[in-house]
Amino acid sequence: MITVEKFREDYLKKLATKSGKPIEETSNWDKYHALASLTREYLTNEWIETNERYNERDVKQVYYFSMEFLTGRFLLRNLQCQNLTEIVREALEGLDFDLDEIASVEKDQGLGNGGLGRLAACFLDSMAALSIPGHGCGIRYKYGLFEQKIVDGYQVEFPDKWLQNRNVWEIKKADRAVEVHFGGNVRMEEYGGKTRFVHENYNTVIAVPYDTPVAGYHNGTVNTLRLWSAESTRRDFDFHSFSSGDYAEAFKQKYDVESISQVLYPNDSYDEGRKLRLKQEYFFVSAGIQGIMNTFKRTEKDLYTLYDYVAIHINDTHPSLAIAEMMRILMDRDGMGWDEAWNITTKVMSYTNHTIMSEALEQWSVDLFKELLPRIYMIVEEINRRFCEELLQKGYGEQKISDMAIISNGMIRMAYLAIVGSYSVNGVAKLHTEILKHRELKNFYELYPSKFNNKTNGITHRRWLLNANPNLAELLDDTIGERWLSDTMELRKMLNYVNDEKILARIDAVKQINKNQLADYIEEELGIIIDRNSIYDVQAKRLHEYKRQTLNILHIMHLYNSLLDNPDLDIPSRTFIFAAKAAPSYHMAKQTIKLINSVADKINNDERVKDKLKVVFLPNYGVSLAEILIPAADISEQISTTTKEASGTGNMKFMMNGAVTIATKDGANIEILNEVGDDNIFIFGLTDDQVYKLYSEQTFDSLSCYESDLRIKRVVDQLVDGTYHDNLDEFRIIRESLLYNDEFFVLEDFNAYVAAQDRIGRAYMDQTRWLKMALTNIACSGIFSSDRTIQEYAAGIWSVDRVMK
Amino acid sequence: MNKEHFDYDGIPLGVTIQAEKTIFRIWALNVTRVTLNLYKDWRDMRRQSYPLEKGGDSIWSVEMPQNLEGMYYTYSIEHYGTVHEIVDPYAVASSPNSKRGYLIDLSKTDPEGWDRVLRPHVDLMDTVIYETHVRDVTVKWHEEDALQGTFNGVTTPLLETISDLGVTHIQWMPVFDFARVDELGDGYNWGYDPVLFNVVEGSYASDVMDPCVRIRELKAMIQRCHSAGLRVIMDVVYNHTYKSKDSNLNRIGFNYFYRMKGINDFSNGSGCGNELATERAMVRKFIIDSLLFWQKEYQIDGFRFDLMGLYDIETVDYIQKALKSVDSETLLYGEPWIGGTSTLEYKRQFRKGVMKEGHVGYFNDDFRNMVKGDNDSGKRGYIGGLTDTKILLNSLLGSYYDGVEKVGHTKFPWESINYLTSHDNLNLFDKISRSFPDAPYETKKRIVGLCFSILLTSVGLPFIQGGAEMMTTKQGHHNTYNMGDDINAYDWSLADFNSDLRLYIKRLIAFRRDTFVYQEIDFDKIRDCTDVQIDDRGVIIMRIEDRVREEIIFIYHNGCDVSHEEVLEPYDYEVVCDGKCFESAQHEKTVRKVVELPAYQTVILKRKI
Repeated sequence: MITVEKFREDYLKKLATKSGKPIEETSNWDKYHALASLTREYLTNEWIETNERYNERDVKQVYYFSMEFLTGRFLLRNLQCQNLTEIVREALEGLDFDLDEIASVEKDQGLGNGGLGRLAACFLDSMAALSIPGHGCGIRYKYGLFEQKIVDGYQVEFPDKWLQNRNVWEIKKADRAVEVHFGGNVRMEEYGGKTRFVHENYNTVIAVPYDTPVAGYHNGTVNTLRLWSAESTRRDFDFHSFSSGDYAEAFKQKYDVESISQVLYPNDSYDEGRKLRLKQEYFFVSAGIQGIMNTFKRTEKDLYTLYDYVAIHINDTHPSLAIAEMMRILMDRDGMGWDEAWNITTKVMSYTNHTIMSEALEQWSVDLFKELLPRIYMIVEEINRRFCEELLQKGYGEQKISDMAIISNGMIRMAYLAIVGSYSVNGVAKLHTEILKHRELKNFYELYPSKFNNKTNGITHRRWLLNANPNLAELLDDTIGERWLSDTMELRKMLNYVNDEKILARIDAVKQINKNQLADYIEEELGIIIDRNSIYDVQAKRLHEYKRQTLNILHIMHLYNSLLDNPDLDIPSRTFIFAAKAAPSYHMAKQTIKLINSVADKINNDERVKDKLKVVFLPNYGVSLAEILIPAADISEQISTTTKEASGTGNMKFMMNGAVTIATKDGANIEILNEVGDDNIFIFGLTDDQVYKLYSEQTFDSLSCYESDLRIKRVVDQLVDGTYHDNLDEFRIIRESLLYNDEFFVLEDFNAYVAAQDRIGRAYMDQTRWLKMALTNIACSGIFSSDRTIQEYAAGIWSVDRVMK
Repeated sequence: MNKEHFDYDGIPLGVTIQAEKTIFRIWALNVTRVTLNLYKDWRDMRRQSYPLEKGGDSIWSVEMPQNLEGMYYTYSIEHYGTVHEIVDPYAVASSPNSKRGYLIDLSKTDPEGWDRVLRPHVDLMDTVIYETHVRDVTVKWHEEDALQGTFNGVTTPLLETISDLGVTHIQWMPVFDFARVDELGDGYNWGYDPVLFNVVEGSYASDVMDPCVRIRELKAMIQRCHSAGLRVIMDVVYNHTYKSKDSNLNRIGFNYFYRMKGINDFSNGSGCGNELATERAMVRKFIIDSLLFWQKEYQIDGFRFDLMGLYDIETVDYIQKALKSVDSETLLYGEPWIGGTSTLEYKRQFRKGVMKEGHVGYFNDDFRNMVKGDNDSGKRGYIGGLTDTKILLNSLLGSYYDGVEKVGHTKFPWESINYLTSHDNLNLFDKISRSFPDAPYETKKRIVGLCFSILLTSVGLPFIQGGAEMMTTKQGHHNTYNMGDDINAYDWSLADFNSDLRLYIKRLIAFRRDTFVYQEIDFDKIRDCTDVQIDDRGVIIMRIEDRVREEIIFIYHNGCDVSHEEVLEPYDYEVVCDGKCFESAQHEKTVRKVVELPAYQTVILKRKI
């Protein structure tokens, strides 16, 4: 048991040895570094014990393969998990150190774009919390998603140097390194009466694992996040070139190899560097599977029972090559035949589809693929051949087979490979799964109906409520006891207090504290002073046309117009807050950021509307910013074009923190609606049926929306009339997209959105009604804990059990 | 418009707070819904709302069964489907920046001894008005930040310095709630942009957050004025509002409260965007209710009306009757002109000489222009220049309407507010500096002295722009309404530097008070004993015969740049003022035969009949 005194003693020792300075000369980073190191050390025993426990009990373990793990900071979380937060806080106070200040030194581990990466992080948290043996497997990118700065209203990208000051949490396991092979050729040879495939003349990349402990909450479980780093082999360093003075040549190979784990690709911009992306995918998949197989071999269990001990989950299509890689190892290394290997592989692999956006459904050209991964290509080709044969036997026609083939028109379709090679395919929200089954993957659903299932996403309430909103957590503890922490459905007990004025007032007070903190942050970061009593209306997510930040900003422009016409309009003061990164090559998204900033600039400097309206764009959205932003939000903007957002998880985080959602009936918004009821959410816009009808009939006409509605015409014209930019062409691309090519129905939904915003205004001004809505949202958010989701995965897909200490 | 003759006497609009209930009443014409919003805090967006019921004659009301003192309130007014949130025009207290009305028990805002200090009594004809501004007068008086620019900064020593001159009334530029100064931040403005007519301006309070503080502090300031023997004149601006289309008045009476040229096309006789339709019953009632409120609640002793040409004569008459029935000594005067083009017929506008009974005075621009020349250019008037002598001499006797030559316009001497400058346009020192750009400072001072002696020896009620008595400058700026303290604040070090001028003015006021003709209210009697002429040299000679004291007073104003000798009739003359007052404090007590009339100076002599 660690006491305050014990901790302080350990800490001072650690601080001295780590910094080599007298205490009064130590910097915040020194203090952080010592504290984080110590915290990790405290975890070490339980980490080792957990692994021993899993081995001794021969349990099945899950390996969650994901290109992205958007974990954010670890320190406070890891203290919380060990129940050390208060002890540490007190011990540090005794030294006149502030825990929160020290914790803010930590760089976000931002190895992800958005929801997908964050979901992976939440899943790790929940698996550990539930004592489910489950580990992450991904890439240790040297640079995370770019750091966003706003210069003159434009997004400018800078490298995210998160490793610059070392990463205290990871441990490099050099002895567990494996080789990954690229290029070369495959030779067939006869060996013991069988045909054997020999891959030769390849380039070797060393994959070195870095393990990060993932601690459970007060349960002694510590799982592992294993991230692979690409290193060159010793022989790649060309001593000949070096000694003959050609330094550049000597290092080239080394840099080429290291580039594989150099940088995380932003979403929506796969066009450039596609080859490197494919390398990344194979690199971590191959390393990950080899690592699992090596570990399994050490247990000396029968390889034919692999699926009783190992489940591999493919998080979206990126790790789909895991299927081919496992086939390769089972056949080429362990000498299995195709059918045996296929039987094992397809009992190990399960797959989650995360999106129906076509640009995210990966395809690789056969030429590229074949050159880079000759052996894997052969395997994929064989999988495809057998799959097509199966279809043929089932009487499928030529066209349909071509539609469903993994390889078609010179392209390899990763999603189809994942479906064919997995025993489970799931969507991430009810609507999304229905769309997969009945539209996007209809053919596959008809072929393999039992593979398809839904697992609605979730979020970890420990980070997003307990850590991010401690005052609310305390309120919940005081009101309904602490059981909600282990069983979030307990939150429903809050509904008993929906008419309790004291509780409502406390919820109000907690929200106000959070709003004040955000206001301070905004003032500090941007120098904008916002009205702390205004509605904080927040849209924080990747910048994408389908997420429709454009709809939001058009409404703000409309509201501004209304206020100029009627300055005393009976509406509450609003602060619209945006946070979003745009993919560097996504021009429309970047111009949307510029538009938001231009509108903000205009409105924030217009004295006439200063009591009613402010617009804020917070740069560099990431986990840590979200932790400040979400607890302070009154309104959660979830306004994607219906059918486009698979689930959304931001929506759940906002809800859990008492924000009320304005939403289309898309993704998990529908499930939020079902939980809270009509009265506690603001639903607007086209339904999925209407959207599909508009697509199929092609009847949608933006121009008529524009021409027949003066409000719309006014805001759309203001994009190009100098209202927001001297250069009239600056936002022309947005206007033209809205008028002539709006596949996201912004103008079609505009009036419904305005009306919903108007309802928000009235509801917010109603003293008791709003607080009841906030309370109801908190109370009904329990089902969206990722603990629930993980339990569903564990039982419904992976068949793993909890392994309690 | 529906009905022009409402009879709302006895029905209090606004809020009535009683022990166990609070009653809200608002008049709103042709609106579809009125809702009361109650807020716990003025910053809070969340509120409780209650519908008002429409009664007869468009009065909407609701009676809440509790004492709501301490809450903030607004009304939501629905008109053609659009809902606006307004602050009650009848609100008597508000949050910072007029954002929300505040429900207050005004009796709790009375300062200590409020009911013991009564309005000082001043004989009407003894009136000397001193115009000033809370911020300008206090900023450099105090070293302490907290007192600068505040009601609290108007301290007794400051007031005694002013009253020591002999002035009887202190006219405060706007102290009602006005726009364009952020009460939570900084800013400077004279305040001629009314928002809430019955609320005290918050930027002059020591604490703007507590709606009671500004009220208590203004009352305390008024109390100190009264204690210093000064009656308090409030500068009021019922001719327009800061906002037009979106003002609270327009929201409760679309196209009713303002004179309109068409839908949303406001007549702009004020030059400030709109003009209130004073001739309409509810506008008239609103103005009178407001004036009575200030008069009773704040012990205001008189009102100065901005752009009074925009008030119809009938309303002015209602106003004076209402106010004088409460305080017969109340002093009322205004600017008899407008600031643009008005849709109010000219013959209905309050202009010079239109009041039959002359109960309301007005600024006499004839006097101003004849003596010093025009407002902002270097053009000179009588002093050092030429002028229309007929109007000049008539002005010195109160601009009486002579009926023969059709000069003048007053029927009673108190109607004429004689003045040289007020807050608008160049101040006196700057005007003289412009007219006499090469004159040394001492010469300018003599000209200022001459201005004051003409002002204070003329018939009518003298009005002094604060600071003129010590020759403050506004650096040659003629319109300084928003120019901040650097330009506007009184440089009090000049009070010492020009103490001789101040002493001179003090003596002139004493002389005036001692001379019967200035107390006389009957023009026939004044003209019977007074003669004023201008001779070939340009010297004004005013001869006043006091038959009671059996003496004759001779006042010589020499507006020329050279001295003259005046040969006297063979009597002994007592020298009241020798024209060298700035050079030496001691002068000859008597003269015979001849007296020197120094350039730009006034000589006053007395002899027995």
